[in-house]
Amino acid sequence: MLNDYINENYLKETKIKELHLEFNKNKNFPNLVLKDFFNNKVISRIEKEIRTEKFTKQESDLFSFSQTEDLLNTDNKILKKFYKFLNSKEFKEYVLKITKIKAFGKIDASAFIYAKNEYLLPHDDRLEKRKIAYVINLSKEFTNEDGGSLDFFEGKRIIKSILPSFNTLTIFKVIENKTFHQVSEVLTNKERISIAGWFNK
Amino acid sequence: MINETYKDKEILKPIKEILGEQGSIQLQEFLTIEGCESLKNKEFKRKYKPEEYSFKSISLKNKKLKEEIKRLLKDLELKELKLISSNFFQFGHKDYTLLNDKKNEKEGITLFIELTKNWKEESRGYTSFIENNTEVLRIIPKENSVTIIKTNEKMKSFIKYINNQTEENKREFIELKYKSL
Repeated sequence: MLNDYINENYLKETKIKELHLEFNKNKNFPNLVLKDFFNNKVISRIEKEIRTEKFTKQESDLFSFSQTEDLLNTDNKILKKFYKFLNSKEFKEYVLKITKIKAFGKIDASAFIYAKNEYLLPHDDRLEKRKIAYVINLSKEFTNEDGGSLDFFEGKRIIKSILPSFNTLTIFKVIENKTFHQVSEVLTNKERISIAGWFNK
Repeated sequence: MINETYKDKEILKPIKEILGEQGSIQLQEFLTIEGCESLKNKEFKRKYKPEEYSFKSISLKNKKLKEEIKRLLKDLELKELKLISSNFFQFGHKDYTLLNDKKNEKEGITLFIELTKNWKEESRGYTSFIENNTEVLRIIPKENSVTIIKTNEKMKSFIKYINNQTEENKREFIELKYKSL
């Protein structure tokens, strides 16, 4: 099943060991940014299908974006299959090998669109069941001028800034009052589109 | 500093009624031109805690304004109030405040004296008062207005993130908070 979705370069045992070391490099903010993570053909189809889903505008003190329902509830067969893969034992065990964090509960997965002037302000995802946060980026050709970066904080300082790039999986450990992160404001007419959620306890 | 109109007790009568009925009121042309001018050119200090707020502010020292506001509140028969904070704020692009579980409003009165010029609504930056997870009041910056709000301990407030449509323009306002004794 993993072979159907994940780029084979990420499935080699030596690579997985490397990723584990990389993930734990920053003890305060364990994270990984995996470029070209999925099979390109598969993820291109996912991106196409995601755009047919219903996005609802969400607005609060903390954010402004549009979001789908949890993909568990989608009627789209291709997305349903992809959700099943993300929620599979095989994929969770693969993530466990990299992170050494047990997170075998039901995965959360929604798609998000950040249009011009939309954002998600700094927060720590504080909910006890959330163990690992993930973002599958489906946006193309974002530059610094476009904004929309995923930023990690240490105190007041941004320690890592990840520009949206197509077919990149970002994962990071959720630590209450520690792993503060944000999606910076999208500054141009480009749409930042992603699937994101949590691996839960 | 306050426009003479708002020192006339006859004019204040309906204002008092609306405030009593609706819990808030916004008055236009609140300060005199000289009053507005005297409040310019403040040296703000940056306040930044990413998970809570981002803005600039400075403590309000203007005794004359505080005295005149005290008089106005007395004329509106809002008695037995104690001033608990008086600050001058400046919010530009990327500034905001977030709701905080531990920071509710007090039983009392809050005033916003707005000095912002030519505010574009699409750049956001409004003040939102929330009670029981519902927005009960939204203050959109309007130059030389004052908004008087009756607050209670169930209320919280935040200032919406200001996006890049504001360009160089900044929201500037004075906030005075009074607690009921």
